[in-house]
Amino acid sequence: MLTLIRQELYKQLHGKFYIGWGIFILALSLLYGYSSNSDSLDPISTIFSNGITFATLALVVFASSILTVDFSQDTVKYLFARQFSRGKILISKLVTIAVMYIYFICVTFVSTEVSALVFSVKGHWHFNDAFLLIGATSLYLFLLLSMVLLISNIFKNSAVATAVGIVFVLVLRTINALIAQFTGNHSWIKFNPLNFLNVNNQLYYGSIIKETTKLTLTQIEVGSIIWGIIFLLITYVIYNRRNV
Amino acid sequence: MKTLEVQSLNKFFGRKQALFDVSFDIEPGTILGLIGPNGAGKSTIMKSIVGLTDYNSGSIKIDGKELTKNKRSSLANVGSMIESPAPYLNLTGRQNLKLFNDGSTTAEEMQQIMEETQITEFADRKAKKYSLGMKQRLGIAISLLNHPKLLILDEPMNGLDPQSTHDLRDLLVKLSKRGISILISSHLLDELSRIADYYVVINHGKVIKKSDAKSFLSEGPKTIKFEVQDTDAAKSALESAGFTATIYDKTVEIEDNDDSTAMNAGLSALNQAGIEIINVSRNQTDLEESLLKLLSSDNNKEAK
Repeated sequence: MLTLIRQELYKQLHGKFYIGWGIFILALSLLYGYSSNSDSLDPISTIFSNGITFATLALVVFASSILTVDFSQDTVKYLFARQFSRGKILISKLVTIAVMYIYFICVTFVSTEVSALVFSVKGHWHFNDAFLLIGATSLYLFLLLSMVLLISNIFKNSAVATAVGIVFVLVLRTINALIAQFTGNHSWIKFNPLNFLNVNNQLYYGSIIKETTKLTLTQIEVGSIIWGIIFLLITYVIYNRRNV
Repeated sequence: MKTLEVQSLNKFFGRKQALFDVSFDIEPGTILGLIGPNGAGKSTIMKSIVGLTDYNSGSIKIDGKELTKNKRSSLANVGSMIESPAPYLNLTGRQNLKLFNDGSTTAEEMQQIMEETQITEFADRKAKKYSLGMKQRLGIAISLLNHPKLLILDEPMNGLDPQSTHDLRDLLVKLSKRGISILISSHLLDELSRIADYYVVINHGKVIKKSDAKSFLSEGPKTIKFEVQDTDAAKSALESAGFTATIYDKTVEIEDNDDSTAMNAGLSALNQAGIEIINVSRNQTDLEESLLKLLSSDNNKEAK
């Protein structure tokens, strides 16, 4: 298992993805720092939360290609024809996604700090808020990336998975409005997985979002984990049975 | 103990049966050539052995262990390159080797593999810049990592220039002498005939012939070639003597038999007809001819 994780990380370390997105997040943080003004209530938190949003997008792109790249480059023939079970290969990829997530959080922290220093942004860190945001984003990403992994695995195509993932990230509000229309008549609709994609907002903003999701905090937390696990299990079954 | 035993392997793609009771085995340190036309099932057999595709019934044993029950430990002894080499393109050759090394290949051994497969020169270039021949050599190098007892190589000579093909041939013979068993498929039958100890011929998913290399070739058609000035006259003279004669360029060819009667009868038929004979040669069949004859007779049998 450790060998597989080491190999996955080795591949990433020699890729340009983490450098490119790291620079992108730093550049955006600097831009936000430059454009922040003294009227902002909490400029540092704003820079940080914007950085986390872009880190989320980066992870969608990353997760959508981590399985499909082996199929598109045919390297799956080496990967599967070895002594490691496909379950372990999948787990090593999940661990790599987690490592990449931690990396992006660190990049966002550093970028925010650099931006604040360079442009003398006023205010200070609210660490409780920052950690709440990270916790909420972690739960959200667990569900979102499970969906992305499943879609990329079904279609063996990272473009489809990236597109779907980004749609979920960017137009969730529209999807919510659509779902809310049906939830009134059929309360079970609130348990659909897309509704659980509000988990980060509900954890962070509380009751305002609850009115849309119609789910309690516990329901949305537990539900996100359950849906995430279901998607990962389906991903595993498809991955394990796939003939090359 | 045999390195590989394949018994009664059956594989369906949907309703279509791709493999029919395929059975063969490989002794340690031998090279088995898996030959047959495109779509015969060679790659499917190889993929089944390395676990890339599942099979519906039958058994595969690697080093005495049943693959389905000991998949992981069995595959630890197998190096493979199926269909085409597929390194990570954004990594260099050396990085690809490091990546696929499970930790059991030392730095010295890796250097030796690079030298044997002749990739040292371009090992630090990104694989995306490699030619097909370079990728092929890197693919073989990857398959040699982690001390395999069984090598499965699907068309490893594709894209190699004559010198590289010659070197690969030597390498495979050297590896087999070290005790590594090799299952190899290739359309370059002339090359294959120089290294294979055994052949398994596959046609339409069925094994139609299993034989050691010597008997396989000796069972094939042998011919006598008469080089003459007037091929048409020679052909009719030989046909009048009861032979089936075929003209190839400036020669007329008849089927040989094990004694010298065909040769003598052919010569006397040409002499009687007053045909000037420039040269006479007796030809042992090559692998390609043997295979074509075998496939043609199998296809005729199926057609009936």
